[in-house]
Amino acid sequence: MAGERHNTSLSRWRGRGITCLLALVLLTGCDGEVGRSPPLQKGAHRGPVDPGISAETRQALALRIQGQRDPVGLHQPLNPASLPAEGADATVDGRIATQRF
Amino acid sequence: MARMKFLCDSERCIECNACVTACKNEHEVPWGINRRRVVTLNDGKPGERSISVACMHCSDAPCMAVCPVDCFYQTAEGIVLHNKDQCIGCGYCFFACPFGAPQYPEGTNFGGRGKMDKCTFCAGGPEVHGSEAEFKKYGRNRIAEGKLPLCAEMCATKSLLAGDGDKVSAIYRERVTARGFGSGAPGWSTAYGPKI
Repeated sequence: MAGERHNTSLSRWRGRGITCLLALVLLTGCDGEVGRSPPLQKGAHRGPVDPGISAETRQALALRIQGQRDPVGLHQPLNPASLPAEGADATVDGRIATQRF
Repeated sequence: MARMKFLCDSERCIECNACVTACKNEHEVPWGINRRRVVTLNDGKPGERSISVACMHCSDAPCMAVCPVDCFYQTAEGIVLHNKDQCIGCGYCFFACPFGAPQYPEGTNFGGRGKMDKCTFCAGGPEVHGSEAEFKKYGRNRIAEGKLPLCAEMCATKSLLAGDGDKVSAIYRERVTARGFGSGAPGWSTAYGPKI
């Protein structure tokens, strides 16, 4: 009877020991987060921001944006009259010579 | 200059995934993370269309609204950027984003996600322009070099347009007029409001 009680308390202490060890392992795994206090007040961004771009860069960007426009003549209406007939040499202006569509 | 915006003309997208590849290569995005994806709508059905999706840099960005540590901000051009030093990887922005743009590089046994990563419109982040730190955290800063996002610049069919919202929508309108029908520009109204 006394031996059984001794075994129970031993296993309880062993269980506590394992729990403490696990907690220690978990805590050491958070090394990067130690001493870090995340700001949890909701509001506006208060950290560093992008330095911004110059007027010249804006100009260069505007030119690039225009470059996305299709070349003139590409949007010709595709109707039977605008397409060359079978075997004909005629090509639609602005297209590759052998291209039919 | 008005706000910078993305527009995907689904009538032109041929699902080549060049935008995805270009983005990954330009920013050296790690394995398992895609800042941009090509999504097929109505797959296998009549009216099937593909669109290229990434962070749309929304006018009223929901990610900014839900972030508990306010790590998001908008630049003067309307580009939505975030500070990785402030991000706690909570994942709120992922749940708020209608486009599924936020990505998380880690998946640990303890549920850690790592710092959130997303499309920066090739505008880097809150670091010195062109610095090593900026490249490592956010990728290349093409905007500071006067260049547009690479995904749009190298789109073979010019399906993906990027830049000043007014000019981009004007280009799209010209196309719609020329071909006689629109593609609906999927995602535009969700990100920027109903008008195009």
